[in-house]
Amino acid sequence: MLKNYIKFTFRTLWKNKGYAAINILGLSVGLTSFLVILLYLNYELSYDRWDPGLEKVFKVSIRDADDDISPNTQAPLAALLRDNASQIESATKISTDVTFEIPLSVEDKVISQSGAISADSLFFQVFPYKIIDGDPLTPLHKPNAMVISAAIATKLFGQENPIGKTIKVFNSFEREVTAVMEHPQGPTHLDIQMVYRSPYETDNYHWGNWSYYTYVKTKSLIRGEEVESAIDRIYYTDRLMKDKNMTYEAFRTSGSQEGLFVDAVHDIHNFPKYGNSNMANISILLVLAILLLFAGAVNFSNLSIASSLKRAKEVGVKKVLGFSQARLFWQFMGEIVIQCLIALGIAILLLHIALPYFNREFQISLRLFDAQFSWGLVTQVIACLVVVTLLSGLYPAVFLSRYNTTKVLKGDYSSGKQGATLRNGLIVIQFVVAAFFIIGIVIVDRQLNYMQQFDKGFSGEQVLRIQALMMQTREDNFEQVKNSLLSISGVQTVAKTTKVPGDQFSDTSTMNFKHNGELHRLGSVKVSKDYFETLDIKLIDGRLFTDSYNDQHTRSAIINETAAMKLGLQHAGGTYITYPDCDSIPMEVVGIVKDFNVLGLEQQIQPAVFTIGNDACMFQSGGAILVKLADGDIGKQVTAIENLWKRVEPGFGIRLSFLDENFHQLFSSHLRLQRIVAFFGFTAIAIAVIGLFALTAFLIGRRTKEISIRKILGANATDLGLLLGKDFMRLIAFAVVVAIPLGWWAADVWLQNFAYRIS
Amino acid sequence: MIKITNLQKYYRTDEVETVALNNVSIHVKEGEFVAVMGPSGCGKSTLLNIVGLLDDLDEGSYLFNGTEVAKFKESNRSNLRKHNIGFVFQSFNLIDELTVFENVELPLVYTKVPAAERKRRVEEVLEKVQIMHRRNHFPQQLSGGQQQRVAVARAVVNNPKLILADEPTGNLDSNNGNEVMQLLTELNETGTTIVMVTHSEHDAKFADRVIRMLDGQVIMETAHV
Repeated sequence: MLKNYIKFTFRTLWKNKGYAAINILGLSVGLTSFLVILLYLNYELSYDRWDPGLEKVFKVSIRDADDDISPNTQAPLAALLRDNASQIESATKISTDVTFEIPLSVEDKVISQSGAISADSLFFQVFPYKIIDGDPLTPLHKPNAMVISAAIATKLFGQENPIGKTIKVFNSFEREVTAVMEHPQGPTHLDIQMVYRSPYETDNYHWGNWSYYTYVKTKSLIRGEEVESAIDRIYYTDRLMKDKNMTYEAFRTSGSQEGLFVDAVHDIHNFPKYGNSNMANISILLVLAILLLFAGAVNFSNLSIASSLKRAKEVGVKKVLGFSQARLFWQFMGEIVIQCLIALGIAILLLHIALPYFNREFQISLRLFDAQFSWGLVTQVIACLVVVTLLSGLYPAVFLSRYNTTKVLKGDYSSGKQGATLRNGLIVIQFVVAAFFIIGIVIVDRQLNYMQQFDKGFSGEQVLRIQALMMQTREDNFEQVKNSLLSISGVQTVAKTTKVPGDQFSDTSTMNFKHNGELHRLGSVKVSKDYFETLDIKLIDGRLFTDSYNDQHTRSAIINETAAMKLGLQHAGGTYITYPDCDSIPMEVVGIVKDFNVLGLEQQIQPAVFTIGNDACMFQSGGAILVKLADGDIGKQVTAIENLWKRVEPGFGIRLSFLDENFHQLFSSHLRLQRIVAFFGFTAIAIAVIGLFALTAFLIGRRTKEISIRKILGANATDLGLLLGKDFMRLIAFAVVVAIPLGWWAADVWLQNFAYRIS
Repeated sequence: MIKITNLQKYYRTDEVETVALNNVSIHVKEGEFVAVMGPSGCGKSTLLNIVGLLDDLDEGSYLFNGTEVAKFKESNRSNLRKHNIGFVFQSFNLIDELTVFENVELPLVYTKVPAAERKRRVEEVLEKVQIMHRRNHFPQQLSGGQQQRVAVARAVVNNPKLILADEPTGNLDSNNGNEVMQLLTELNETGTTIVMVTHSEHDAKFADRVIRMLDGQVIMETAHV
């Protein structure tokens, strides 16, 4: 019996090849986009869930009096909280740039490695990384300790036991491997390959240094609010009460938001209390993917009914032969289940083809068959299939099995206007989605054009960015390296900076500066003399740096317009700022430069203080060397630089890029969004068009008789096109009217991400 | 008015070719009332469809008012059809979504007759078939006879020279059938040419001439005096 049904189903599908193909492909496309997003959502939600111990870990952030939020906290904060909060088991501060590659060497072997952080000795008491070799209890106890991942151990030491061996970091200081840790199974916001104790720990330890992330681990599972109020009170009492001159309770009731707050680590990636998260984008995509799937299923349903008009006679005959309505219903449902299964099979195939592209695009590693959450995923897919089958099949099956026997046998297949509102509504939804995407495509496109043409305030044209991997190249040997570079024909200027325009993860150091007795938090950027000339940054007032002693030793500073505004300065010269926490000698503000954009268009330009020399207060590492080239044979100049670099940093390959391209990378996430929106847009349009086709097929199927009569009475193709088209045009027009405000709203929300945007 | 010579019509499937009309020649003069009779499947409806330019012929010649129309393109046929031919069907073929008035008005819409003129002509023809009082009703609200009267009204509203009727009384009881035949006769008397396919000897008697068909061929022609 079942075999007969299946045979009959395939025979029917084959007979209606065209309809069946459109039907199944349409549904497959909807299913594929839905499955991609489903996988992506599963992946995102698995962030920082790799150990149950993480539920007790929170990241501490600070909101200042100006309501500015900074992920960076002061160096001594972790110790303050650890010593005073009874709920806290342990706290650690880390200094991180996990995407930044640093050079590691063991004897002659040199590798450059990302995923490095420096931390205090308590890091492993807070984070439950599994130690698989070496000291599991206090791996970072020694001031020169370092813990590496199994992958790095293999890279550097092969099969040898790495414990007790030393690794040279930045070619500058040595660390001893005390333990090997296991890389966590799931994704994490801190993708760590190694943790080491910083050599500058003591020098940089003061309240004026805002360069650390602070994490706390609670003794028991408690809510974030509880942690927050406990540590906020401690922070207030220790740091703020003296100035505010009121009790903690009075301060809180005063309405000020200043103080500490926490994010549970498993919320940092998806639901952070400030900053960007992918979740909003993913949620929107999920809703749209559901709509696409829904639309695909509805089209399927409409097309099934359209093609079923041909089968009315079969129903009539079967009913005459004694088939019950229920049996017919299940027969049709069975056919639809088979089609849905075929669609799912195609969707999985498409997914298999599409996933590598998607993974590359998002720089993640989604897999369809992953031991980690495969059962969860299988359940989700089955649930999805059931819903899709019901959506696709219920209506056609009822519709078909209900055909009036005598009527259909006489050739009358029409059954009034039932369900018209529902069908029209669904078409409207499909076109709302499609129009929404079209609006999205236009807006994203315009904003990206705007961004590419935006005057960023500096010129990166023919400026090379060279990553110096050895500390000496940037510090002690810089003058020598600079002169070597300048000796190459075509090299015009050479400069260095800790904050390279366009670097996605550049130095975000901010410091307290005192001016006229008031404290201001400003960005601190270390540069060299020719920095502003190299980038063609305009001077507004005062002068640029010279070779004078004061300029070269952090006794003069140049600030940008935004900083000048924050300090209330009209002119440079004769005015001084100081580092109040660590250095009492004042710096003269000798110049004010025009604002220039280093962080992309999402953020307002930050107030910045540019100084030369890494002498005062805090040592700032990172950044790059910038080389301005003359017009002419760029290739030859680059080759000469590459050759020189082999002598400057032997053993390390040169890492260079053009600054313009570097800055352009800041747009990469938006370009990605543009491609995603375009992809979903075209999918939505395709599904909507299939939907329209389905509805047209359905209505034409039902109106064949009317169309014939009109033709006999003299209607030509245009008349008939208008007759059938005007209803759809009305629906599409309505959909566009609905979509415009929705698209407008969504575009507005998206554009809010940009400090500089189209209006 | 109609001169069909050596008409051949085949129906082909993948494997079989069936001859629907074989060497059919007919001649209908202007103002004539001709009935076509014969058993089911003899090809009379196919012939009527070809005469009405709803179907192609495979071989032979078809002169309509002296013009060869056998090789006409669809747009030309449509044009010729809407200005010259009215159709009446067994199953009335009214559009359920339109009222009596709108159904009758339709041919005038497609021949681009101005609205005021349309109204005048529709009302005139509805009066003629005595259905004016149901002008705002929908087809399902009418009896079979009334529906066929509307269909006749629709067929004649454009003043066609030729009316093609395919079993016009097939779905009607004898009273209603007679009424419809009466209407057709009246139209014929005012000069309209009528070609009617029928099974009914009774209806055929209203015609001037009967063409009898069997297996796709004309076997006999009888004239009523």
